[in-house]
Amino acid sequence: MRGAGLAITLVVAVLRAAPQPPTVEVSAIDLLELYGLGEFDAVSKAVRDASRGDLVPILEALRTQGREWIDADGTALAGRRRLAAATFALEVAEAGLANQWARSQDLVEWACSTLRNLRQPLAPERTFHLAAIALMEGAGDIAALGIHLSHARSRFPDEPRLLLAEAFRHEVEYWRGSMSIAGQPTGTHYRGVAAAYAKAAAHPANRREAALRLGHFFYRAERYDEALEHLHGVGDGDDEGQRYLRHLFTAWIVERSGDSDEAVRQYRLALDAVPGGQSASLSLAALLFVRDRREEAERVIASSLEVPSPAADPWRIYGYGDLRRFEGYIRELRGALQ
Amino acid sequence: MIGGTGLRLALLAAALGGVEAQRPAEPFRSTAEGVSVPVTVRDRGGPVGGLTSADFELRDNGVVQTVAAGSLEALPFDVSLVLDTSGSVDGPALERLVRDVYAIRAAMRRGDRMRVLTFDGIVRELIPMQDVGQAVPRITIRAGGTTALFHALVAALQARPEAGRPHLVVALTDGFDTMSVLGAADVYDLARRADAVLHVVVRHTAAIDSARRGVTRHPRFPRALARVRDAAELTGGRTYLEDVQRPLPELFLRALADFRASYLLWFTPQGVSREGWHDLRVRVKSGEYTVTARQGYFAGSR
Repeated sequence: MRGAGLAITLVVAVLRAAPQPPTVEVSAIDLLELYGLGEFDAVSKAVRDASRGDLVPILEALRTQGREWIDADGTALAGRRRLAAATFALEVAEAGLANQWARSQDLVEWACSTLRNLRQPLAPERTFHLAAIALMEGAGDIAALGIHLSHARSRFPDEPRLLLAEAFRHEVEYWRGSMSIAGQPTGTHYRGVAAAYAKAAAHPANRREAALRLGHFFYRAERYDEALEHLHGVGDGDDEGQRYLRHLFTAWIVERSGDSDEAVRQYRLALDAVPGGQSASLSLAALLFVRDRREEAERVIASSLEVPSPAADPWRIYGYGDLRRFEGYIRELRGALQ
Repeated sequence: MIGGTGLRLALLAAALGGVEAQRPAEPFRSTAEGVSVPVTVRDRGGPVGGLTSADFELRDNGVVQTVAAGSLEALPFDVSLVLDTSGSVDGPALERLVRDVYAIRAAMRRGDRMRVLTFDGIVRELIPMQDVGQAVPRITIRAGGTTALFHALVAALQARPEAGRPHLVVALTDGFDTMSVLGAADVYDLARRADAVLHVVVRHTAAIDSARRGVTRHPRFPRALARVRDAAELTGGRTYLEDVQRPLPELFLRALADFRASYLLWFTPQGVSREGWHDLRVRVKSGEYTVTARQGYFAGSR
């Protein structure tokens, strides 16, 4: 046991070393052990490095040895270790989101079934499902999303966010149908999306987000009056991203209708919420430029180039549903493991 | 007023030499008072040099104008290099890209200025517009999975040129845009009013090839690429479809050589209305040449 403790200490030291630690053989179960000990950031970094290779070894290790690891310290700690293993699997899955989604999906399903094996859900399992759904939405995998939603509903039927996820799934399905040669979406599909968002909006926790998404849906469907009505309904909450998108979408609609002054005002309101957001900045700059307000346009562009972090533009991740919330969910899960 | 504008004009005149006619107040901005038009003349052997004002005929909305001509060869100018770092650009390719940027800067002349923008889903200013002789800190290029080509072109085209310095924008891309909220039509609209000459080098990947031939469905691609090509031609630039394996500096230097071999025509519009869109037609009065020139300009706000 002392030996194992020393080995873990060494591995921690190596993982924490910056910027390029020497190569060491660390098994997936070693990483899980470290994760369980609270070395979240170091493990997360190692997982990210590992994700450049194949995630299969981690998946297989969890499948073959994960259960043994969960039960290693007896039943008293099994719940916590189960949550640690599931959260670890989620972090690995997120690392593979862009280029190994099939593996990521398997990891999420392993984690999900690990938690669902408990008759009574652990309280943090609710957050786990929301994080898993965020990943499915980020991957745009509506088939997997549908399956996972049924799992989540069976455990937490009262969770309002699931209604939003269901509406998002309908919407993605709708737009995919509208772009496919074989199947044009029907009026039924269309009404289905609107009804799903309306149902989600009925819950106070979802109201702003559902109004925003419904507004954007109607905008894309070129039903501008309805779009504006829903966007107005978003109001001014604490969520800067929502405020930004509300004004950005409103600006697009009023610009299209020829009201350039109002469009400029709406773009500026969006930029008040998220300074430097590039989609609003470049839309605004283009509008100013063609109106011969070149100095203003140049200033807007310059400020958007000063803060170009991916997170600085909520539009960039809007299409990925709740993926923007994934980090927050992971923070919550890590907190529950502390 | 005289001190500022007059001095810039004197500098420009000294740089060009041998310019015979009137000069506009803002040589590289297209206003109703003065319009500059970069023009490339080619025959089968390549760019044609040695032409003078008397060789050109320029019509503004059909009305023949009196022009002054000079060669861009001797002028220092500004270049915005716009690099696509999306998708497949990673690891060794990124390191090569960094080396390429340094190589391109080294190939430019003293007095030229260069700015480098990169884009994946986000547009970043890697190096601000500065003299190529000026040292730059060690640069790091980041790559991402999405592509905001139109955002990058809009950001580059909007830069206001410093008086006396032509502005060349060279964008290197794989041509797919997956992220911009602005479209190719917006780029076209801006190109109508921009003062830069836009060259777009589209690197010819298998994905592009299959999209062009309609093998894979990418609804926005073929039309968008055509619109970007139109935008480049509108400014007097070109679109090149190049093999993805060709070295970046080679592609860039080709666009640069085209630009350096250009002429600059100036005129103060006579006999045409001041505001709105002006169609430009430029030809060489005698001989069989291919003339590439800005196709028009916009005066006043819409």
